[in-house]
Amino acid sequence: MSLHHVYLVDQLHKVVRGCQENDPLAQRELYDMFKVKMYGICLRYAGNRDDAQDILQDGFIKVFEKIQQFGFKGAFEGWIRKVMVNTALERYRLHYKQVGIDEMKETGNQDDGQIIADIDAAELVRMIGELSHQYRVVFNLYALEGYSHKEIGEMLQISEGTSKSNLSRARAILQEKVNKYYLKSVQTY
Amino acid sequence: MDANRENIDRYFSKKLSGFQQDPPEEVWDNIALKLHERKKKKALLLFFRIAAGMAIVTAIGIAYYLGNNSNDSKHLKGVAQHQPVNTTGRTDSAVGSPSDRHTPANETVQPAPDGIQPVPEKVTPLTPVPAEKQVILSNADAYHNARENALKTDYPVVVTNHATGDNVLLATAVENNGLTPLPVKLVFVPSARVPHTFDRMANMRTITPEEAEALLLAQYNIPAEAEKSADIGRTWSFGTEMAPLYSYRSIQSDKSYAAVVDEFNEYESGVMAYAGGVKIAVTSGKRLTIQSGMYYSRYGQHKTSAETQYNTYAASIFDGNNESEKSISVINSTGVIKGEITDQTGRKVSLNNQLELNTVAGDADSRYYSYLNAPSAIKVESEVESNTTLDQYFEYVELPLLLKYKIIDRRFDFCFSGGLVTNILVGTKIYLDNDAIDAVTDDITTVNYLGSFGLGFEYPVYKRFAFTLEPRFRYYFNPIDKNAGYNVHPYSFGIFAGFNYLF
Repeated sequence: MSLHHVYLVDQLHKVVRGCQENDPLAQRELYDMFKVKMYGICLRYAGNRDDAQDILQDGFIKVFEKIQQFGFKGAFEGWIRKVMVNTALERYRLHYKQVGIDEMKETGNQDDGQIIADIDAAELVRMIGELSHQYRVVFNLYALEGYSHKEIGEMLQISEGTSKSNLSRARAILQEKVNKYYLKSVQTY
Repeated sequence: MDANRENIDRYFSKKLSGFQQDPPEEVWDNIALKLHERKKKKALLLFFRIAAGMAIVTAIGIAYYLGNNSNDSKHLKGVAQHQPVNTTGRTDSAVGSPSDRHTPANETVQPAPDGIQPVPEKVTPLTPVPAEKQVILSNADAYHNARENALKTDYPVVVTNHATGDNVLLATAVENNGLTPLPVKLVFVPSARVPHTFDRMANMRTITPEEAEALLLAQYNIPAEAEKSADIGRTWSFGTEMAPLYSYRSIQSDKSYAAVVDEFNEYESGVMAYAGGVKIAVTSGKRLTIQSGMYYSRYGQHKTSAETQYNTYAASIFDGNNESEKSISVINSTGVIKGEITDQTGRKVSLNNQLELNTVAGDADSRYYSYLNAPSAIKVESEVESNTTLDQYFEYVELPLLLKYKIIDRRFDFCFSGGLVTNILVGTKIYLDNDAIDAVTDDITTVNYLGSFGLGFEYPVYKRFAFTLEPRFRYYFNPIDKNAGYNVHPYSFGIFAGFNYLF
């Protein structure tokens, strides 16, 4: 661990302590430190920017309310990230979960296409955003956050089998989108 | 195929691992605003907690104070009852010899003339009363208690003015047959003229109660206000009441949750519930009453077109176990309701023709099957029934502290009431299509603070019994849910009817 890293961790802990004392300046500083990363996560879970901003807003309010619980034992970034993901899941449960079977109406080909396109990250986020809510959440949790199907099942109140099939559908749809995007970009040039 | 799928996972993961974007500045503005609002709410909640604490302490203090006063009065009554001859101060010699100071339990007192009966044979031995208490009680309360005592008994009653050392003899006159007490006859006896025995009372003048009262008040130097206060007195009452309630909730939200709240409001409605319990109250003066007690109450709401998700854990597919389990989850304004149901419920589930079935244990592979073609051994994973009705009830134990102010003080009393109720969640009940299920609602506040406002009527129906009727509105100051974007505040309206017993 470099000296610079130690310095940054120390600075972060000072800011966290300030937030634990409800210092408004520390709260603003913490927000500035993590807003771009967390907004990126929120965009992945939300279908659009408005939803992403709502998740970011609710997530940071939770962070400031629960920051007393952070005991400096693990990485703060992991902790705040978990709060954001949980906020996104809460919003998903509240707003979208009851569409239930509608999720299954969405179709996509399960092509075996190769991923060769070098696509901009923002474009990939847009593709994820076009997935239905449940597919998007399952894909994020499994492929990008590394949760198991069992854990996803518990978080979303669905069975492991549903989680697996949702992931499978999400992958197929994303694969198709990537292929289409690639073909379109090839034709353009 | 699986390799490609994992490739796409890795591809997205790699490309998005460091994905960042700057949010608009207005997000922070909203956060700062909400933090400020929450700080204010916390301060308000703290205020309610302190108010509830202070109210409880005050109620206990008042009860303790009044209880003490009441004990002292009883004590004096005891002194009065059991001192047929004066035993204190410089008047010992005036009423019997010093040896009479502690009258034995079985001592018989010589019958007095003029219908005044002797003290009954068995008298509880006197408990020495601290002088300071006697002084405190040598006031209007003492007088009134003694007079009340004289009304109930058929033997002479003596109280002592410790300020002057004078004795006051209160007695009931009894008719010659010795059975029927007449209305109270008070005899005022200055210390210098207190007889050694009651023989000499025959020569004393009998005065009217009004005369005696005037003399006593003068003797005790009771100020007019104290006299007034004594007339008013304090009354304890105990009773029970219950009410049918209409209960519902209001939702406060920010604009981003407006659509969600509209949907809740469209499908949710209030329900009839009830509350009831025991109450205890003390009335100080003619108009002010403090009431507390313990109640059980139910609040709730109804939801139509509830979308209930039935999750079937097809254990046979994944671990070879042939048994399956079902769980349900329903979302309403208070949060996510989760519960367990069994296969035996016989509930019909509205099935879509296209159901997703897992066919390979532990494999992410999935296919679409027509429901009609689905092998019976394969369990359905997830089903949604979109037209169930949901009734949700919260059960509470309530500890109210209410202040009542009497506006009309006649035979038919009328009062305003208001106060704070501390409300503790003790259970939840969930009914789906009128069937009770074992379920819980996530993240519900267990201790709540309610404001209570009412208009009360009271009508005496028999001696010390009074009928009470009070329409009451109650509102939760704090939200019962812990949702981020909106707050649910239940409220109820009920007509509480019951009885009070005055003592």
